[in-house]
Amino acid sequence: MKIAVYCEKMREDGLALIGKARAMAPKSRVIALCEEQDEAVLSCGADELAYLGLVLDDCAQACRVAEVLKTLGPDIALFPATVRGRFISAWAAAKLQTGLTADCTALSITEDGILKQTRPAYGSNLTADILCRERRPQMASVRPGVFPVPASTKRVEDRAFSDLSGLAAPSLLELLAHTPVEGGASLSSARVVVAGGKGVGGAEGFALLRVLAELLGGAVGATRSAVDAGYISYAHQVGQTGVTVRPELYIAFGISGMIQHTVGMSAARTVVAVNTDKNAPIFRSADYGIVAPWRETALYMLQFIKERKGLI
Amino acid sequence: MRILVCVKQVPDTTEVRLREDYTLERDFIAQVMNPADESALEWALQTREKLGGETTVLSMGPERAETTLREAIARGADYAALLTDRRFAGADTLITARCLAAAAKRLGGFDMIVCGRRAVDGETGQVGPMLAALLNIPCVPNVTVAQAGEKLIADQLTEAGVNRWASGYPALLTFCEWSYRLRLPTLSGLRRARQAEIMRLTPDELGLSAEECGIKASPTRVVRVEARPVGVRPCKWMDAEGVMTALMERCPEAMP
Repeated sequence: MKIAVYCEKMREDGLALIGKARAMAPKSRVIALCEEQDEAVLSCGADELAYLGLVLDDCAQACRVAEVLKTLGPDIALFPATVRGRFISAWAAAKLQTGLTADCTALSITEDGILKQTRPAYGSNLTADILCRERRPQMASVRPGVFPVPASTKRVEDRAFSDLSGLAAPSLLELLAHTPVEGGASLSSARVVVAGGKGVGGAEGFALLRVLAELLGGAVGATRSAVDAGYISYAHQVGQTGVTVRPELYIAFGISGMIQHTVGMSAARTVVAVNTDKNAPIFRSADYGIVAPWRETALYMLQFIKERKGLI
Repeated sequence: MRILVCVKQVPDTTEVRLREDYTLERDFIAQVMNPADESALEWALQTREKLGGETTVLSMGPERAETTLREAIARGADYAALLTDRRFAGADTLITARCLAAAAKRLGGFDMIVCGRRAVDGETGQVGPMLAALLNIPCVPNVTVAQAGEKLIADQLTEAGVNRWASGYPALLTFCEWSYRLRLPTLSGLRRARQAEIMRLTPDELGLSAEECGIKASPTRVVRVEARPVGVRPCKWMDAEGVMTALMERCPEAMP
């Protein structure tokens, strides 16, 4: 079995997918399709580093990926479910006329050697298992953060390298500018996440949460409804269509606990929920529940931590 | 400028029931236009106001998706077409994109195609990019702001920040839910919506055989669905002081 894994520049999702590919199909040949020449893909278990590079035109890049997949002929192709990963996988699947499952949270190989793709469906109330029996490759995008990055091994001598960076594609888009996101981008690897929902009321509410997060050395998370309401940027969104986090501590302020959100934080070691509604579903996902106004509670915690740190 | 807006009728709730065959039970739930599609429609209407031209809305779905198309006309869309036929049913994202691509070609001559970035029911976000790939036109997904001038300029939201792309025409954009807020219907719009003719298109009219559409053609298949409560924990009720004290003990590595 041949498995291709798309590895984005400056992100570790590809490494996690290589680890997953190795674990679910130990005898497979894993080819890392890389935007940058990163030897880490080899020490994480890939048999081959196929260096594709990255052209500053996502459509052209997607055409190149489709070409490479056509040539390599893998049985399975995995992509990180980031904005670019989702786009490239969708474009390539259409070009190859094959099936693609978006935003998977679990993968396994069935007895008859088919990739079983599991994803939350229908508003995340359900999980669905999806198969692509006939067409190849079987393609899936995988939500960032659901699989751990494997520990690196030293066995890299017998691994192969190929340079595909010369592959040309017609130009469709021109990148005029890139504005990096403001701080807190390390959400997916944060040790502490302080998150807010629509109940936080606005951007000022999130400013308070940011102070608390900074004191705890953590990052700020948000629900989709808070992001949709414009309280905070999309980069902070935790959940089905955002980031999956696995912190030591997750504190949820003013979050109702829709399953679309909780799927993104259920791997947290300890969860504290603060909500004025005792029946809010978030308390079913919490180890500790505080039924109180969020601001009052946040201010209390702030005070508590400042005292601990000797800041007061 | 001729703009095609692809819209989907979706259930107005996340409480969705399933049929035996794991397809959606859509019959007893209020149906609305997918929120991100509203954003795309509003952009199309504003662009038509600036540059002239016409806006066509296109949907694939059961007969009753017609109400969503009439709603779009009430807000200002000029024409509407509905792909409705039993042979279209059960299509996965690839086959949905194939049918929409065939309809876009059949209706013909669009300078722009716009969609929502994802539907609230399926949440795959795949149909827009797949449609662009099949038509071989540039595509920018996840757009917050776009300007159609000599070139098309679109700001795209990603995890790493905002990318500003430029493209020629025709091109396809998918919009975020909050990018453009859809205007309310006008009285004359409502009148037009009642009287408007909604074009129906069948697979034959799109030049597609029964084997090329619907569940038959779809490479992916849902084989099992499970209602699975995610991450249920036993919740201890406490006040803020109690929680902070407990946290010192339970996760000292996360506390100062």
